[in-house]
Amino acid sequence: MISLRNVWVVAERDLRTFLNYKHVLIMRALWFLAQIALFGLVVNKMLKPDVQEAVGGSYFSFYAAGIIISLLYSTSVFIGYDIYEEADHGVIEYLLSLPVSRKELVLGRSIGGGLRSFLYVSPMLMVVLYLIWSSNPQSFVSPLQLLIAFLALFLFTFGVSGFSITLAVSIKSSDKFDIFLGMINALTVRLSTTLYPLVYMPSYYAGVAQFNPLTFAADIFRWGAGLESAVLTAPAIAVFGIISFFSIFTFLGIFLHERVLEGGSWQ
Amino acid sequence: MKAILYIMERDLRYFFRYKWWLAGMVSMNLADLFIMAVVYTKMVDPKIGNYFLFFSPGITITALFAAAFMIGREINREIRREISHYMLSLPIKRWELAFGRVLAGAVRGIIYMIPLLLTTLAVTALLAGNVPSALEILTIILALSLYRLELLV
Repeated sequence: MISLRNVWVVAERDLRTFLNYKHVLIMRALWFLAQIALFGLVVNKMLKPDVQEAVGGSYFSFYAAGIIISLLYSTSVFIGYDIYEEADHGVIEYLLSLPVSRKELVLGRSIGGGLRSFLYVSPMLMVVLYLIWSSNPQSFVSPLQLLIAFLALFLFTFGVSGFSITLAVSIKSSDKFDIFLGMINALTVRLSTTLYPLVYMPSYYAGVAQFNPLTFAADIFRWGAGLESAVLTAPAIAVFGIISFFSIFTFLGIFLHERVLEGGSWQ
Repeated sequence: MKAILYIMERDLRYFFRYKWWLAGMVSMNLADLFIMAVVYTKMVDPKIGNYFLFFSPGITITALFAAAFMIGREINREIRREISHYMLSLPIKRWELAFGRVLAGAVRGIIYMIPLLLTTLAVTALLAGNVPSALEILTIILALSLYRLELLV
C-alpha cells in the first residue's frame, strides 16, 4: 500500500534539494532573459515578412513561448543528476534505510522532479504570457484553454523527469550520462518547434520534429496562450502526445529505478 | 622550461581522457550548425546574406569560448579534491605551474577547434567558393589561439 504522505515527504525533499542549486537556477534564469532580450529581439528583426505571418504575426512571441518550454525541459532533467550525486556520496543507502517503501521513494522522486521544475519555471511562464498578451491583447483566448495547456505542461515535466531517471539508472558512468543527456538535449530542442515552425524545416528534420514531445509541449503552450495561428499541431494530438510521453517515461523511470535500487546496481 | 613542458604534457594527457566529453561538445556544435542554422537560413531575410555562411565561423568561436572554460572547471575540481596541494608540493615554481596550464589550455583549445574550423572552411569553400591560402589559415589559427589565451587568462 502506498502512503501518499510518504510520497509527498520524498517529493518535498527533492523540492528543497533543488534550492541547493541556487547558482545554477540563477544562471538558467539569466540565460532565459538573455535568450528573450538579445537573441529573440535580434532574430525577430532579421526574418523574412512571410515568416512573421507563418508564426501568427510575431516571431518574438513564438520564440518566447518556445524558449520557456526548452527551459522547462532542461530543468526537469536535473533529477537524473541528483540520482548520480546521491549514488556518489552514499546518500542512497541512507534513503533506503528510511521508513519509506521503495515504491514511495521512487514515485516521490518522479513527482518531486517534475513539480520543482514546474514551480521554478512558473514565474518565467508568467513573464512570457505577459509579453505575448501585451504585444497582442487579442491573443488572450480563454482561461480553460490556458488551464488545459498548463495541465499538459505539468504532465510533460513528469514525463521528462521519468525520462531523465530512466537514463540515469540505465547509464552507469556519470560522465557518459552528462554527455549523453547534453547531446539528447541539443538534438531534441533543435529538432522541435520550440525555436522555429515545422514549415521552415527541411522534410527530413520535420519528419522527426512532428513526433517530438517538445513540439507537443511548445505547440500546446502556444495554443493555450492564444497564439493559435502559430500552432501547427492540433491541440488534441499534442495533448495525446504529451500523455503518451508522460505514461511511457514516468512508469518506465519508476520501474527501472525501483529495480536498480532493489538489485543495488547503483553501487 | 622543462617544468612547463611537463605541466603541458600532463594537461594534454588529461584532455584526451575526456574524449566522450569532446565528442559530445563537437556534436552539439555540429547540431547547431546543421540543424539550427539550416532552418534559420530558410527564415532569415536574404537581403542580410546567407545566414548559414555567417553562422558557420561564429559557431567555431562559440565552441572555442566554451572549450576555454574546460580548464577552469578542471582546476576548480582539483582544488575541491585537494589535488592542487599535491601540485604545489612538486619541485615546480608556481609561475611555471600557472604558465604551463595556460599554455596547455591554449593547445587543447586548438585541438578542440580543428574539426570545427575544418567544417567552416569546407562550408565556405563549398557554398561561397572561397578557399583561403595557407597563410590565411595560419593567420586564423594564430589569431584564434591568441583569443583563446586571452580567455584562459
